[in-house]
Amino acid sequence: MGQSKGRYQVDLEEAVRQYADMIYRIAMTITGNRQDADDVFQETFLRLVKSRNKIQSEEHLKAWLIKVAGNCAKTVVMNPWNKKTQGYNKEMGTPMIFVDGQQSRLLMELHALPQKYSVVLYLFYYEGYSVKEVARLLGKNENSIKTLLKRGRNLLRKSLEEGGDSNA
Amino acid sequence: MRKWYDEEDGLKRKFMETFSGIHASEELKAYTLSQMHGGAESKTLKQENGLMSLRKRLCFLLPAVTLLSVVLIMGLWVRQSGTPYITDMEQDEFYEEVLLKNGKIRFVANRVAISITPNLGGITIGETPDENVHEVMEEKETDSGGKLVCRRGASIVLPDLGEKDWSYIEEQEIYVTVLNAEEIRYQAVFEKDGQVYELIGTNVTQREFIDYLYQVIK
Repeated sequence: MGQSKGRYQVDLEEAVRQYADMIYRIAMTITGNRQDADDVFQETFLRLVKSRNKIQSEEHLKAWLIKVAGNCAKTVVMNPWNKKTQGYNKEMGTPMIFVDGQQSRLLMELHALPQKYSVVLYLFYYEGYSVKEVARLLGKNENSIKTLLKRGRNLLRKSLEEGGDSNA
Repeated sequence: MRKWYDEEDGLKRKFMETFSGIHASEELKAYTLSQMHGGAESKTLKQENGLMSLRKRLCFLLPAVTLLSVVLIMGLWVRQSGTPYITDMEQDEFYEEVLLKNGKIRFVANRVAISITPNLGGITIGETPDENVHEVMEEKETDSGGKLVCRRGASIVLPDLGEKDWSYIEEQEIYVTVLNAEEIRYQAVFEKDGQVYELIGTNVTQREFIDYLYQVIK
């Protein structure tokens, strides 16, 4: 990624190298499975190709990728086919999500949360962004992020508690 | 007892443990990059592998569904015009709406199959005047103003019949015909316990006639 003639230019390879895992994790958090996460990942970066001229800075790129990945994942989750199969999964119990061959309870519960909470929790706890940084990345004010964090945490604890999980 | 998710550190640690195991595969990255360099015609892996989006799936499904519907409608139409009309006599739903078509009407219900063969010639009971003696078992008027007669005779002469011209009510074989004369006349003939029975319905509806036939045989 670099700047030439005073204008920011996206280096596609560098963007993929730098943000691939973050985008993939966000996609996993929202979609809850690798197949859909793969789709979201590709769709996000393919959209970047078309929109790269609109990106103004590194920070903008990161925020743009997070936003687009979230939207793509939401589209996948809201897809009528997925909704149907999720309804089926709900009847069958919480869907199982595996990470490195092990069932991940945290990911399952994050996936079950509304997207607005799960992405904020992910950025805050895993990526280590401060409330201020998360607010900037998501284009929200800090108070909203604080509220989302608080509610998201409570919902996550509640669902983990209900699931009887102590160390998953 | 406090759980890991009750503490900020516990939550952070669990997030780290969980998400550090999640990576975009090298294959996915490489493929995505190759597609990114491909420009506007780029496809996702799913598209490349032939798995279609819902919209595309619908584009393919709609013509298929339309085609199937047409086939189904054609099938129903063919069935109505020539194949047995399935109904249930005991549930009172049949025949009035069935038209004479190609000279034959065939009803098939629960163990009841009625073929009405029009204009095949009358059925006579008995060949000689002596044999033609018959006893009127019952004679009654129907709601539609027609007349139903049940007669019993000694023998029967039928036109040359194929298997398809026979009707059945359970195991009972019956020959049914309709004469499309000025007065519409249904006739049914069957043999039971060495006796020949003839039912004649004059200006009755199909339903009245077949109901009566069913009642007599049962």
